[in-house]
Amino acid sequence: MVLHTLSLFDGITLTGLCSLGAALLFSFTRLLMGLAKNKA
Amino acid sequence: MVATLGNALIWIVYIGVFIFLARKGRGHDAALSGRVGFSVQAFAYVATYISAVALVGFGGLAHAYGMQMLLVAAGNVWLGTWVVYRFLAWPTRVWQQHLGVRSPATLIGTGHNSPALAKALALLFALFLSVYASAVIKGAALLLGQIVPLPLWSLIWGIAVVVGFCVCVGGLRGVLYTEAMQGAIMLAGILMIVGAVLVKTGGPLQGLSDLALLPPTRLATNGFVSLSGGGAGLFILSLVVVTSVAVWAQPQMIQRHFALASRTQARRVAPLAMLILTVLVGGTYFAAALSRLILPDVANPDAVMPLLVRQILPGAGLHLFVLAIVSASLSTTTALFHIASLAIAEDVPARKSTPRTWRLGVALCVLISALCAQADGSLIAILCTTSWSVVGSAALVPYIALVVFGKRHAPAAWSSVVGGLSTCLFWYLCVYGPTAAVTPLPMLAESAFGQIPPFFVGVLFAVAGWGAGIAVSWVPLPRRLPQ
Repeated sequence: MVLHTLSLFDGITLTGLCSLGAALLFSFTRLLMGLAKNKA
Repeated sequence: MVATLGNALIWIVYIGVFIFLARKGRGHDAALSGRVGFSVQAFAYVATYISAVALVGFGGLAHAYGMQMLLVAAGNVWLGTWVVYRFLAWPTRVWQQHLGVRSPATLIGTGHNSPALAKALALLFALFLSVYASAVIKGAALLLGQIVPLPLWSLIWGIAVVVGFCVCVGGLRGVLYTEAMQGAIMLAGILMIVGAVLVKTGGPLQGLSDLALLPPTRLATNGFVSLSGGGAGLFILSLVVVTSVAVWAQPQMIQRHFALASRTQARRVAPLAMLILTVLVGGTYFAAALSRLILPDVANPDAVMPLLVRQILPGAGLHLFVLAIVSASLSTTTALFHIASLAIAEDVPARKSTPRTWRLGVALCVLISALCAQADGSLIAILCTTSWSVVGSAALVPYIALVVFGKRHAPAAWSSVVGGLSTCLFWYLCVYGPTAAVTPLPMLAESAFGQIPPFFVGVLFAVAGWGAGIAVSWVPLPRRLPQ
């Protein structure tokens, strides 16, 4: 279902969507790493 | 009756917290904030970046253009935030400490060994930013007018005075704290709308599938999940660059970096700011694009978000949305007022402000902005439209040359500022199709050049101006003959 929905996008717009997803993932990971470092 | 009292209570608490946070800056330097936590800085950066134009105006564009507006959101997050904190923020703070300066205008001017350049930039910032603030205030007053039964002029003055009070009492520290609060409210308001739209459209996957089935329109020429062809697609790509790169040299954003305590803190601010911005702009554009399934045709793009909220949220939700948009406007206005007041009270007279001169500077800003907000002149409209690009074109090259490359060159900086500023203004007034008032070069205006955004032309000439300034200083001056 997810792949089917993503296949509806064209390459450039999909890049925009994936960039936002990557930003969410990146920022979450960095924040969690920061928290873990602080606790340690 | 109970609902009215509840809504009134929301606003009273909002104003109370706003004033409480503004007073946190009392007794601190008006231009520099001292130590501020990384979360406050992250929320403040995003709140300064995102104004009501980004949420309401660009939300309307997402309704018209569809998911391609996510490219703008991605540009804002990666270019406008990650690049800034990775390459610009800490070097800016280091240069600010090294030069002992207190404002973006003096950072660039003193950095290039030219106090006159600092004054010229301060005048430019004071003029454009206080007039730009007037447009933001007017937008907030118009929105408030929908739920507060008061005349527009009184709302304009009310907002200008409240913001002026915050800047006057709190200085940069108070501004940062109030912006952080406003950023949090914006986040809550936008999350609420995104949730309501997703429920209404059957979830993100179902919504996207339905959106992809809609027929193309004049603006979304390839449908609502693809980049448009021709001018519409180029418009979206240019919007990505203008909103994500011009922000690097906006003085109200540069001033945020002065609050950084260390390089480590800059690294901690970046992911949180990116997260907030992704949810705010990504969420807004995603929801606004999906709203095409709820509101098929809306003539005025600015009406999309208010209409959407009225349709899918209950009364209290409408108030929370207005609160979020007013917060977006107020946070941008406080940042603009702070820079404009600093320019008037410190940079132009070239001496540190006293409490009296600071109050005078802020009062002048309140007066200019409130009066401009009530005037209906075309010059003001042009200044508001052009502010972001003009300030970016003038300041970007000398700022980057200083903080990234460590180049200090007064003639190059001057010719870069003059080149960027004059060509950007000329392009807006005489060539660029949507804004040109006179066309002394009709061949140029009617060709494809007439569609190039002025920021691109301004930056190109600013780079050329920098090169010209360096080249001129290499030319040996004629030696004086001995008397």
